[in-house]
Amino acid sequence: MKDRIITVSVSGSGGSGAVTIGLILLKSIANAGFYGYMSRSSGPQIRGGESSVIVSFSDHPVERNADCIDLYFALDWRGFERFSDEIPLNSDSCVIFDSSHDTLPDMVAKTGAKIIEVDLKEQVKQIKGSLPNSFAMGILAAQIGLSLESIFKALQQTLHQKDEAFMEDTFRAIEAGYTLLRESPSLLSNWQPSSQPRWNISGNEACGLGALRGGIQLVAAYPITPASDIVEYLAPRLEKVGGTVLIAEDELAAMNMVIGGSFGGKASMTATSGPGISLMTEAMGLAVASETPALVVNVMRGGPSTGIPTKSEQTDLNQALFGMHGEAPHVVVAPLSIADTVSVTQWAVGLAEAMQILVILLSDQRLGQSRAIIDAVPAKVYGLQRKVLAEGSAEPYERYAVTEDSISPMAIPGNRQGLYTADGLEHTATGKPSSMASDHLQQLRKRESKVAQFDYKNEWAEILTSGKRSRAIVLTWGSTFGSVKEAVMELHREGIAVDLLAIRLLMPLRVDAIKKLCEDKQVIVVEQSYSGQFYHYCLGRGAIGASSLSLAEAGPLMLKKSDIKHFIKEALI
Amino acid sequence: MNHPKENHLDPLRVLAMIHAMIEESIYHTETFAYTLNVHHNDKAAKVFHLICEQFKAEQGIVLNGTLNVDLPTIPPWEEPYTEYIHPSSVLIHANYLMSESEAWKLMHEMVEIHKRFYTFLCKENSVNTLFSVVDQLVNYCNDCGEKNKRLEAKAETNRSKSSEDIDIIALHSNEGGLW
Amino acid sequence: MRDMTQETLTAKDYLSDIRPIWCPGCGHFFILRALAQAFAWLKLPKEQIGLISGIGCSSRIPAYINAYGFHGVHGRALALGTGLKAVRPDMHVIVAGGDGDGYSIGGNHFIHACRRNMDMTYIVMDNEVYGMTKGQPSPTTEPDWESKFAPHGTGIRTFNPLGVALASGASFIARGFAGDPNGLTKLIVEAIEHKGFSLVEIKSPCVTFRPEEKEWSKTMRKMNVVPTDDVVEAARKIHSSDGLDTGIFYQATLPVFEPHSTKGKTVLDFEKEFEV
Repeated sequence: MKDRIITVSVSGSGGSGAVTIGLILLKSIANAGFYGYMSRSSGPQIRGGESSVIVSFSDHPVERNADCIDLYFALDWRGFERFSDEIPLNSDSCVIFDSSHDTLPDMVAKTGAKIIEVDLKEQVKQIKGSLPNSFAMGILAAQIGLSLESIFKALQQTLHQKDEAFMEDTFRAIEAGYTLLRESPSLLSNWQPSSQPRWNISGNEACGLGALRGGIQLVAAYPITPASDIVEYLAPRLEKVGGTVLIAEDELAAMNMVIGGSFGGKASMTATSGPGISLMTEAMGLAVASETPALVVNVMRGGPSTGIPTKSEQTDLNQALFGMHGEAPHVVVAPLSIADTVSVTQWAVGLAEAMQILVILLSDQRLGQSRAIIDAVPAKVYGLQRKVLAEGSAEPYERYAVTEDSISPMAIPGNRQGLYTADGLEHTATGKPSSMASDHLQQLRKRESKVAQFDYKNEWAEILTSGKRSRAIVLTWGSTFGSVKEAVMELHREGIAVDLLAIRLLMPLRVDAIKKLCEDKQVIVVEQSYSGQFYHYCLGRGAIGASSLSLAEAGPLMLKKSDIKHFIKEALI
Repeated sequence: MNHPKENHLDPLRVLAMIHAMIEESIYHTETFAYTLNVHHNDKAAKVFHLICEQFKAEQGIVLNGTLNVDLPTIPPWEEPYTEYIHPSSVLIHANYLMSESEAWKLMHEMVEIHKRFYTFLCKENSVNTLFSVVDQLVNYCNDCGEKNKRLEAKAETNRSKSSEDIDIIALHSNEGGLW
Repeated sequence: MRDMTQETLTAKDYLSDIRPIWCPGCGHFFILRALAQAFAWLKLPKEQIGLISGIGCSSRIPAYINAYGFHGVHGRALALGTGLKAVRPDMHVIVAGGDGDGYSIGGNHFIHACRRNMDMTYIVMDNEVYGMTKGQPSPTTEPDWESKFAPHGTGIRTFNPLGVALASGASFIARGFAGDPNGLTKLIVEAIEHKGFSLVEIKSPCVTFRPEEKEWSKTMRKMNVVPTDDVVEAARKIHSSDGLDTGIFYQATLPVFEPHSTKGKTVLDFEKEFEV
């Protein structure tokens, strides 16, 4: 329990209520004034499958789960072998399990963890109408040192729809669980509660909120794991701020609906995952060619093909960068944390609008489906707006006119002076189809130049320096940032100077800026892919040198802070 | 289809219909002349173009004869009489490989549609007030008919290209050719 | 719907300066003209028309019309049009394309656009062949039509667009013929005036790859179908037709999908939900 971070995990088979415990625990932590981060994992079953949650919490913001579990409650051991690699236990861990129907698996015994057995069946008999997970909740709260009050409040916030008798029984069960085990000293005694305004938000909700802040007016989407939550968040809300959610018949339709809505003058987006992106790719090229603003959110999961739908990986990077046929300049951005997702999504909407371009936002299952207690994220002012043709303009209109910043005013239907036909065919400045070399070159240059010369300001990356002269710099992106940041900060505390460069703007890559930051340093690229896609991309663009090192690990298991630290230390020898 | 009672033809409506018919013919001959050019059939295109000019002259006669009157707007689907054929319907027999002589044959049919309408009107007692315009149109058509006949007689009958030549269209069009 | 306060525009005003490069004789020329005639008759403001197409000979049509247009990717025009209509209900959305674009690669969107029954018009210029790629069989090509692509014919029965549209929920279903410009113009006018999804499937001869289709000018029956709002009667008419009848087969008042967006909340209201 170093660094004042406690990590608790709960698992059980379907209906055991493991996820509910996690949600209530997270809320209790918030009520007590702390920060937390909860990831979840479930089996492939739609309903009734085994599921687990891991909640890390602290009195300072946490952006990832710790490498090892401090306290683990197994409501049962069914399907545990499928999770075991996601719930790392060691001799410092404490494992509590319901002994009324299971015995301790050998693999758990071997970890050397401290084991506590409780007979939940017996407890349930004592209080009619109670459920085993309520006792578990009470036991966990007592072990951690959370007050009953914060738990009850969280329970009311979570189960507000349930009837009073049920609530009463549940309270009694939690209370009983709270006093069941020998009293242990509170782990939170030296923690400082925060007085900051804080949010309880998931990454996918953060994306939805960012979209609302960015002014999205149309979302067209087809259901897919793990991106559907974004649409489910937006569906009841967007319509109350004048917007629309369209249920598309497939991803091909969704992407084209987005283009249609955007052509109509409204900021439009879709949210999907790898397989959906594959289907959308043709129309994504249309957004590029026709210079129609469009935001595509990809909540990445394991691939290829159907891959691992419920788990995380950063392997759609190549697809996002190079998926389209022909030469199709576009923008690819990636948030680094749940909090960052709010702002980066808002920024992505602005970029799409201002640059009249396709923007792909790469999130992933870990980022999207994890939930955290974070400091409230203030709305930003990016000043990014679509350049539109003014009403009553007298000049003959050229939709794709070559301008200084290569962005031409877009006529919005309804404007009498701006009649034009948007086209996926190569075209002249007026939009007339043309296959002439000179027109092709002119428009290629225009589309490339607006991306190249746009001012992305300081948003392009998060830079963390040690304050001292660093011998190494770690490059990373996306959800991997959480682990890398903690590893680097630990190294700082150990007196090892290492810089961290986490890139939000993946395309266009700020090659010169990266080169400058990496100068004379050992470069280490960390990412969650088997083949090192990000490493090869940086190398290929000449942003990093040939002596750079790659730490690339396939999903779905999160890269461990300790492994990253070890890798960096080895590199510095 | 809406057919106004043929024996109660309102002169202004009739003139509006003539005007509409000629507009259709001008548009289509002009458009076809263009596409024949694009398909490198300049000889046929020239014939379409020539007839288009004659249609424009016919329209001039109508406009001159109706200088001070507002022609009513006629629903574009209204047909003047039962046997009426839309002048564009003959164009379905056009072909990018058509010979000059075939082009003449088609244009001749189109002109005949105009003439049949005018002749029909001449037979109607109720259209006396328009007679001078219709009469002028008939005369103009007859004049052109003589001239056209001489040109038609000299027209080439051979088709200069084979269907394989269609590939040329893609190569020579600046509008993107095939998709 | 015909707005008498609007200035009088003629068909010519709706046609752009770009001239079609379709093959001389192609039925699409007459459809383009009929469309312009219909717009003029309805006095639609040019800037309020969104003409959306996919890919194919017929899908070039937006470039030839003086309005807002989108020439998108193959088969997805209906989806693009749906997006436009969803955010801009004030626009007259007209989607146009060919039989391959609409019934083959775009078949799924066709079904679901009918289902949604949004207030838009779909003009299909059906020549029973892929003309742009030079003569391959399409879903409406007869199974025994021999081509380089299918030397023995496709051996696959033809797609019945009217039947599919009816089963899927379209509320206006008509067949027209390019060689009957007057009847066609009337159909297009009525389709645009109809509240809901209107399909106008137009037989349009491909004189280059299907020269035998010129015969349609003799065989197609001009506007002989009597409209009905009875779905069973319409099904009977559609399925008993030999494909040569034209007119409105079905027109009914059915629920139209309209997004129910309101105003009254702000993003700040939603931010509060996250507060702990």
